[in-house]
Amino acid sequence: MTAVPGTQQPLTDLEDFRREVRAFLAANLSPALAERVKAGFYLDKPELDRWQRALHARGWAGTNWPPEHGGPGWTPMQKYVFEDECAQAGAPILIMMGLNQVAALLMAAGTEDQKRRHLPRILDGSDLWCQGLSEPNSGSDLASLKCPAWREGDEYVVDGSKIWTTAAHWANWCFLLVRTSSDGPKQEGITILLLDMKTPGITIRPIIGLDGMHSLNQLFLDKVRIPVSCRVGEEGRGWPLMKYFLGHERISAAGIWKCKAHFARLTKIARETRRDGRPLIENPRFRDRMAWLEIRMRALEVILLSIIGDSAKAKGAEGALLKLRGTELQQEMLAMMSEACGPYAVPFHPEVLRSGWTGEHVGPEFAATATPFYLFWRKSTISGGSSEIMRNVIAQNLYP
Amino acid sequence: MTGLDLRVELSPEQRMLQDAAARYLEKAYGFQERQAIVAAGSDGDAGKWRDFAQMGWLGLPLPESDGGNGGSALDLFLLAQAFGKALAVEPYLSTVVLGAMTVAAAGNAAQRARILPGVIAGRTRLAFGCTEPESGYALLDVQTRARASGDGFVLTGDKSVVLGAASADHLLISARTAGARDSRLGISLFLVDRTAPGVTLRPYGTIDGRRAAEVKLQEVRVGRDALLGELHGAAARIEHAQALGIVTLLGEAVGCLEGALACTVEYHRNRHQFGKPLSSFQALRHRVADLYVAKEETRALCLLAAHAHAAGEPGAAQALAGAKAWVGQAGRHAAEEAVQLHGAIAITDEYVVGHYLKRIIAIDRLFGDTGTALDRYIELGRAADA
Repeated sequence: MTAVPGTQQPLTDLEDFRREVRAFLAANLSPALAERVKAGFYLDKPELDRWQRALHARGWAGTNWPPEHGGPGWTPMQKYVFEDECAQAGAPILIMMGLNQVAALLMAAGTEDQKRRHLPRILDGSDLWCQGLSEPNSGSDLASLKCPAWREGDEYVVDGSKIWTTAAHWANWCFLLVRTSSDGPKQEGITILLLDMKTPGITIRPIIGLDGMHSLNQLFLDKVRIPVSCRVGEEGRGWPLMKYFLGHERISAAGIWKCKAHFARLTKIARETRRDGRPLIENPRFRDRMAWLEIRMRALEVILLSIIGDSAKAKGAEGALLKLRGTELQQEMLAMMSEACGPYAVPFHPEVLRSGWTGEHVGPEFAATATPFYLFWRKSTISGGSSEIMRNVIAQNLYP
Repeated sequence: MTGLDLRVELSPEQRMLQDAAARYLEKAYGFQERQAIVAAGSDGDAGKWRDFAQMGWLGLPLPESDGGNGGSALDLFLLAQAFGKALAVEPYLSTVVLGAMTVAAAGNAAQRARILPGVIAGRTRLAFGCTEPESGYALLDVQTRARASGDGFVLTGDKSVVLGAASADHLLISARTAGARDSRLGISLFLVDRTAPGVTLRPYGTIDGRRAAEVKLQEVRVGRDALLGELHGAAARIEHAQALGIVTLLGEAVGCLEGALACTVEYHRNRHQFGKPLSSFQALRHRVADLYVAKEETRALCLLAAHAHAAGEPGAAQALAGAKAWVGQAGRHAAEEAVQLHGAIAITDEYVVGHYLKRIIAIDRLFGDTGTALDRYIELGRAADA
């Protein structure tokens, strides 16, 4: 029997698992919703919540979670198969801050009380988490964050601002990095707090993206009081904990499964779009670029599979490579979908993207979302560690 | 690209082969020594060739029934990777990969017994003459003719850029025995003694330090026993040899990029400018990071292709074409970057990095360059979709 590298998991089991995932998707994902997801339409919170409930009912909400916390206890290869199938099918993409980073952090460093209070509600979707990491002046130098917090009795008082907070307007909890001390190196004096978004003193300013849509926010925290019991780890020792989890994001940010889904869509569009009297895919320049994209995508998938389950490599040069190139590939594919729109890339109708919009679109159907989607995802090489930071990580590994 | 298992894992034996090859070549095939071998103008070094034989490399991919080790195309790839990093110039590709593997696949028992033991022992060398002055990369475009005569054949025609021809004992020559110039049917392969009357060679060095020759065949008489494989039916043999040749070249290309990255990192660590090591300049660090990325992508694609070819997967031909195209484009760009990142020293013959670029260029121009390979990649993708 052939074994999967690193996991010794028989391939036949994995194929059975793939069939199980497909059966679940066929039973739970409506074709209309899947089409909207593939086309890049935004889903509203009730739609995302419904999907999480469906996953949770099947025991599949926390793909990274171990069984003792209610997760499926999947191997890295199972998780990969699951993500791959979900992307191909057009399953909604959940907001993962709670399910991934916050949950992993709480499992590793939370108090028993914190775990009991938060983990079940993250898993079943009762709580949606956002993350208050970046600040207007911190940029790629995350550890330079300044948002001050000081202790008053059994509470911390936080007085500052956080930015690029995805879904803050939907979230009921926020995972917050604050500065409790400015003595010593910048990496010291950072503390992790869990903030209930109903706490008085929080103002949310929507940030409208290039796509005309609202998913990002700036948070203003005006003397917001957070109980000491909501601190994770020791005071001033938040950075080492954070650093441990930051690297893990990279492989998922690389989104090989996303690339594959985008490429399938691009292929469909290039076949169906006629330009200069022939299908776009017959245009030698367009066709060659698609071939290169496919080849580059394959390289990344081979690299991903060769390090899957190896967390040292995932956080090292290999993980940085995957994030760097995976995001570039996604962007190039989205750019080509926009190019395929021709002049219909020009009309701008953000209202079309909103959930529940039923009007008639201008031009071919895919044109409604292709260009806004392309514009929105310019962020992928900037957020989660910019491409420049990824190159720094790689160079750091080359010159140890 | 469908029909591919993307999980490539090396066996313990394959890791041992890799280690042994890397250890030997690091010790015995330093760049200075390599340059001396090239300067000597012979086709590789006789002592090294004997070492290769002793380590079992000359029989590595040959069937056990012919006295070889029965290794796979992936084994061959791994050995070639070490050759590429060392920039080895011995005629391994021509003798073992293109020559002996074709004899093993197409030859009858007598031919195999006559040729293969000598190859494995390091006594016999072969060359594969299947390109012609006007064929470009189309190996089935054959103008050389072989006409039946008495108990054998008479061959006339020109073969171009035949690697290892001058040191070869036997040349494998493709010739048209029937059909039009580019017809798939009607090509036959012949074993021709390099010293046979009517064979003339114009030997030369190649840009990457190997030896090759233009081969002229004028009314060369060979016996019936010189026919290798089926009369008129050599096209598939030639294509198979080409595929295995590409696997080998892909291995070399990966080794070249590994070498180019290693020497660039080393150079930037030691070279000081403006009072600081080059490795402290972020503009340079990022370009070296990109070099690393290109090396890893190249390795992934080439390893995948070799693995798929070895396993006989349906997507193997397309994977080979994709990797070949990639090496010519991204691989070449990476090697050019390695040169640029060194500065002036890199454009001298005495420093190693430019030789990696030269080898990559040679690899691109053998068996189909970037454009040819990309066309094939697209064509095979369409065929798979249909």
